[in-house]
Amino acid sequence: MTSGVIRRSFTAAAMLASALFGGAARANPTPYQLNMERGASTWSQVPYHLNNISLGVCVVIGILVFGAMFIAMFRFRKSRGAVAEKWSHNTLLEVIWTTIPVIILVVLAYLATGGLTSWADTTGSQMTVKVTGYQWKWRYDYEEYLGKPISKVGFMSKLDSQSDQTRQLDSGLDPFKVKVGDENTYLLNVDKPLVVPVDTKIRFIITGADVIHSWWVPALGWKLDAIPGIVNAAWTNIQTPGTYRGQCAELCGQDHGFMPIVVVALSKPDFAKWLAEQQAKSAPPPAAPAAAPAAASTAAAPKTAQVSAAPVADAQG
Amino acid sequence: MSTIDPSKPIRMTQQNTSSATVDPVSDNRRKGVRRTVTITAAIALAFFLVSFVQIVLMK
Amino acid sequence: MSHAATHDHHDDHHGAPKNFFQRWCMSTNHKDIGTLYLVFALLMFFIGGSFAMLIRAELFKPGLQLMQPYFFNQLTTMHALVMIFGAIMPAFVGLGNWMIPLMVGAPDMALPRMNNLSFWILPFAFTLLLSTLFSAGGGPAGGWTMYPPLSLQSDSLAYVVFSVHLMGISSIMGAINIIATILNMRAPGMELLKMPVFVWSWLITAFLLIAVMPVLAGAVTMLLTDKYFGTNFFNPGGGGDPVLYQHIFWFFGHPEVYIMILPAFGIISEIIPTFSRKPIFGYKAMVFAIASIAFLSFIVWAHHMFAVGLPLGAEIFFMYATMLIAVPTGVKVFNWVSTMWGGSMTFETPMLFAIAFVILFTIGGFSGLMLALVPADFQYHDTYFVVAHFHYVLVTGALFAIIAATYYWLPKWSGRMYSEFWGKMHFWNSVIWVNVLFFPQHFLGLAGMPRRIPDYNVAFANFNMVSSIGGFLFGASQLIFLGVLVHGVFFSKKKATDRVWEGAKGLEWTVPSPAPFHTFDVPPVIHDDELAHGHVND
Repeated sequence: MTSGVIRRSFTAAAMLASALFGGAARANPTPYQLNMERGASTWSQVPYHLNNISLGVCVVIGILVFGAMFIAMFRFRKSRGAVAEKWSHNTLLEVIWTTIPVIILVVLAYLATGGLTSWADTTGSQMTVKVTGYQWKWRYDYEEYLGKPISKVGFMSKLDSQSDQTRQLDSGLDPFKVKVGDENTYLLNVDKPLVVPVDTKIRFIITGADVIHSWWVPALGWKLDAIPGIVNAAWTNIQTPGTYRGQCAELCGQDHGFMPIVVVALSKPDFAKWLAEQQAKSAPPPAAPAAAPAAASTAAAPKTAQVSAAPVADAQG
Repeated sequence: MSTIDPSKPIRMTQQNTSSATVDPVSDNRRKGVRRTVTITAAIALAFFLVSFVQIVLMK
Repeated sequence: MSHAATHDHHDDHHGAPKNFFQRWCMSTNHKDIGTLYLVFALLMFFIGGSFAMLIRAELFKPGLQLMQPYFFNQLTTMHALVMIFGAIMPAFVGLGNWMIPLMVGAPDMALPRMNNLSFWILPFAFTLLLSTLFSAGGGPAGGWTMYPPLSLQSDSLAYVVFSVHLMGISSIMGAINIIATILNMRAPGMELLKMPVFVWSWLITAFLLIAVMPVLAGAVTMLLTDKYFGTNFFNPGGGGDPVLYQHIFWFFGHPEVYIMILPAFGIISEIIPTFSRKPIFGYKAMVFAIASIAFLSFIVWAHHMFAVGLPLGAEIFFMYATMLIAVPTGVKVFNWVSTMWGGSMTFETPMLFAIAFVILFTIGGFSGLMLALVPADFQYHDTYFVVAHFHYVLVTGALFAIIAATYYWLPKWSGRMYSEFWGKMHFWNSVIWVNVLFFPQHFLGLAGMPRRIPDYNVAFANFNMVSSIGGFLFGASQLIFLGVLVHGVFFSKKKATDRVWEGAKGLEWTVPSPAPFHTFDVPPVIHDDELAHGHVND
């Protein structure tokens, strides 16, 4: 046990170095991770940059203010013979330290407003997925892809059984051994992930079935509450194929910590193939009609790549 | 601003749970406290009721 | 009535009533009631703290070792309710009770009998609340915000709602009493703009209380009728709206945040000038900053709800309003630093806690600014980043101010000096471990750990272990505080002088130490030199 901890802390130290200096865009949490990730969607860099900029502003102000404080504490100590001065007012200073923060805030507000406006624009989407939060699992229904309605492709997505067994009180199982390949997926894996294509503006419509949940995949850059009786909308456009993990982010009862979200982003041809399989499974016995939309989607893929270029450029500008 | 009259320094007495004091000093202060309590209690009640009115407005 | 008058006359000459029950349960004396509030807050601080220890113990490493998730949720909910309504708020009311009459030269609070009632409601409210932990269905587990529909699933809702009503009534009565005292009971010559900043901060806080506690009462009443009387305020199945609850709750909740920090600003504005031996910089600016923060607190509530899917316009409005609060808050911090500049500083325990307050509260303010930016908040919201943010503001903010105030005024209350050595031990242990406890939580949040979860992926294991170790040691450090208090109240041989601190100014330091049972029976004649702000013209 002890040696395990030591070994792990060595690995962790190596990972700390990579967390600090590694420039590669990662999407899922790593040990000793210190900052937010850039994420994998076109929009996810907005919160990432805002986070870094505002953190930088805060660090600079902090150094100035705390620096002044420490100089004061050093210079004006009674034990060094400091005699208290009498002044308690300085109009110029007060004007300066009221206006400078206002200017900084205006700049931050400008940046944030731009990012927020692009986030709120769900128009021009090429795919729609309905997300429903349940105690304690998610349901995904594919509503529409490239302008064609999809029916009967929908499924529940809940915590994978290995995590589920390990997380039981006094299970005696080691969370460090819950792995998919090299990646530890304890509490971050599901039985059936949401599969989506890359380079596609996907609109999510999010609602809740029982209590309020919140659908959050950090790599997409946002979370949005799943509220019963209310339908929320948001969009994403994932750029890199990969597996992106997230969790429910609104307290929703006893298993709130155990309803992860996994989004698998596939290249467009792979996605079309996957979608065709799903439709075939849910379609009635004569299999012929199911093949047609699949072929159509595959054929449509190259065309969409051009269409999707526009929102990407928008978000980056 | 203060409602105490400095020209008449009279000892204050402590009231207790079973009896209020007859304030010998100043009627002004008694009136002032009464007015403050009335106004603040009215504000509190108004906010309580408004929290329900919101519901009606947002329907 | 004549009997009453005789009785009072009797009290006057003999100090406190001898009988324990009469003295403490039937007290109408602002000092005794203040003491009751403070002792109650300390008790609740340790109860709420023990919940926190259990939470940190479960989060020490990945996997569930100690408790079922549902009990964990009860702990997080109760920890918040007990700390907010049981520890922080009563502690400030206790300090206000003790010090406001002394600071404005009043013989007592304006409504002494109501003062007794507003304290004695609290023990019953909290007995009721804590008793739910031992009931069959368990305590409340839907978070202290009690969002429906989740909170409606709880069996203990009725208990929680009733105890919140009681706390609300207690707070409203306390607030009315403080306003009435400050507006009507000041000694001649104690003009409003000569009052200590602490009194100002409490006056403004009391107005926040009477405006928002009734709103909370309204919100929880609707929860109660939704669950038991078939109404559909928040039930979407019946045409209700769960988001509406959040609007009403946070209309209470955000001013509530300032209710817990404005008196702290007041305390720090007393302590820093005393130990800098220099008048506070920009007295009027400090008062106006408090007032404008209080005003702004009413129009920022939805920044707690950026992720519920508000309309774009609403998100932009609440983002701007929230960012605006940084301006008056910044003014306060700059003024505290300027007060130190050019002073003649010494670093007794109250000053150490006040300096830690300024630095650590500012760090909490910085993360608050980052949270105000809506796109960034889409990532931070409901993660450990938020947990770190509000613990920096409430623990190293509100709690450190309360501790600083306790060290600052304890000699005046008990007539004995506390042990400076152990006070400093308490300080250094607290300030180191509280950072070990909460600073790594920023990283956890940024890496993607949601709040209110009992178990987590192994990527979060390292910082959670660090945080838990910090938590245990911070908790243990508070036992030093308890020791210093017991020693400083009952056993210390070192008598306090009347002025206690060399640089202390204000009416409270003109009365003997310990403060006699009755003070300012005769309105004091005020010399402006004695006041901290007697000659303010800026």
